[in-house]
Amino acid sequence: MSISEEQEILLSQLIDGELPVDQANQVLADVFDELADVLGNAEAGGKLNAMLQLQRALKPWRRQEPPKGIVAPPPAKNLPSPDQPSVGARRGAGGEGVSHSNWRLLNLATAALLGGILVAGGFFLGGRFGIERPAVPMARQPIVIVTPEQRQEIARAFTLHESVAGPLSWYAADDSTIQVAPAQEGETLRQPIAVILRLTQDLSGPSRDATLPKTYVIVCRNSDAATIELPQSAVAKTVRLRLLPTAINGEVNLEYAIAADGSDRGPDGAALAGRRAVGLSQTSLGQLALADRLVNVDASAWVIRDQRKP
Amino acid sequence: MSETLNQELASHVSRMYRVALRIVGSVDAAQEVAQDACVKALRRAETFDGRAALVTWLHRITVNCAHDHLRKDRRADRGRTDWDSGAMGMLAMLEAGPAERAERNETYRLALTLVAKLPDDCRSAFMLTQLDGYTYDEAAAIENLSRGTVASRVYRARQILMEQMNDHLAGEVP
Repeated sequence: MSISEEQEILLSQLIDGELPVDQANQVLADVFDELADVLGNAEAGGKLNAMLQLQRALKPWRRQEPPKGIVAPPPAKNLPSPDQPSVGARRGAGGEGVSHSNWRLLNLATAALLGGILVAGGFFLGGRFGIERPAVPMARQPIVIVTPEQRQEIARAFTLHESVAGPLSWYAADDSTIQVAPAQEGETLRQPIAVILRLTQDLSGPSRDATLPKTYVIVCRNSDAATIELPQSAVAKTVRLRLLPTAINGEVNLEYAIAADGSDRGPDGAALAGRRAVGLSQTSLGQLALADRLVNVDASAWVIRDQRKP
Repeated sequence: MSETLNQELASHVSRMYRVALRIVGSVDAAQEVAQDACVKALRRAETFDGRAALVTWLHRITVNCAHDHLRKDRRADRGRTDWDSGAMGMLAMLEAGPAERAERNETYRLALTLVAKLPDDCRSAFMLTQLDGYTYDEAAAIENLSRGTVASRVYRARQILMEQMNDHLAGEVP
């Protein structure tokens, strides 16, 4: 009985110890199967073969992996340091970062790391929005409705960050960065409200922006204004948000101001402000008129009712 | 330390997940437990003195988190048994996990079922090395045994399993 070149290559790798254990066992088992056909099972060979079969039988278990990413090397840019406050560090009225203890910094760093991990592992929902759409698209773009699963995941992510970093005034994430603002001592923390902010290209503009759409997940507090400086992106060098959500009868009344400062395409900035009743379906907040393009700004918002069992 | 630990954690997560899975018995719960264990490890980075092997330390945290989860989740606990409770736990795990695709594989089911019936000492060494994916040295550190003892127990477990599997497959055991 001749063996194929592929089998010979496998045997060669087996001799060199270059095969993963499961593959090595498979090759050995195949060899023993052939030997058994020709020579019958010698005792040692038979036992080894049986061990290999048992090992192979349990392979499915050994291959079990977590369904979602759990941990990964940290994105260094998320690490706050005492010399250079994190973008997400809470700022006072004068724009000064609040000082923290080393332990607080460690917690924050851990929270930021975990945020990055969750984002990298697929926890972040940005790429998954748009699954649930009405059959009839609206004139400008399809309406996106936040699903219960997405709400649960955001609630869980917020809870996780609070479990690591302590109570948070707000939390903001995009597809690569997490920012958190720890609550100040003695601060009364009201009900958390999640806001999905979505920036999309208005196709009537003269140029296209490959970085859009861009989605931000923000959790802030009911009736508590949050000022958030989003990380630099191709959309604009800085995007500053001021959000004041107020929960009224289960709905969210969102006061907002958004300012974008220039980009590598031009120095111009743009601003947008207003107040809207926002729910689970995407609601337009207006447009940012940047140098050579228009950016639609939409939001969804809801009250996170139970963080422990979202 | 936390940054180094975080990098190290990435290479241990799969095993931590499998350890959690065989204790708590469901994919979602195992995911939560592994996540909790990672968070705790990062938070306790300062307490890791390096005398214990990292793998031992993480294993202990994972097992503790899994047991905490079981204690907290009485409702789930009532409907599920873990490894120590016998063969049914194995089957519950099979049904709950991504191994559902392999559910029809009788050999796999049989092997897992029989692992639950192994003597305690053999079972622990066997599960650590053959299911969780620890090396003999790592399993020896976790169990506080010599490598030779682990090797011997794994061998004995295999012997028992092979005999029992042969019996089952030959139809001698109902």
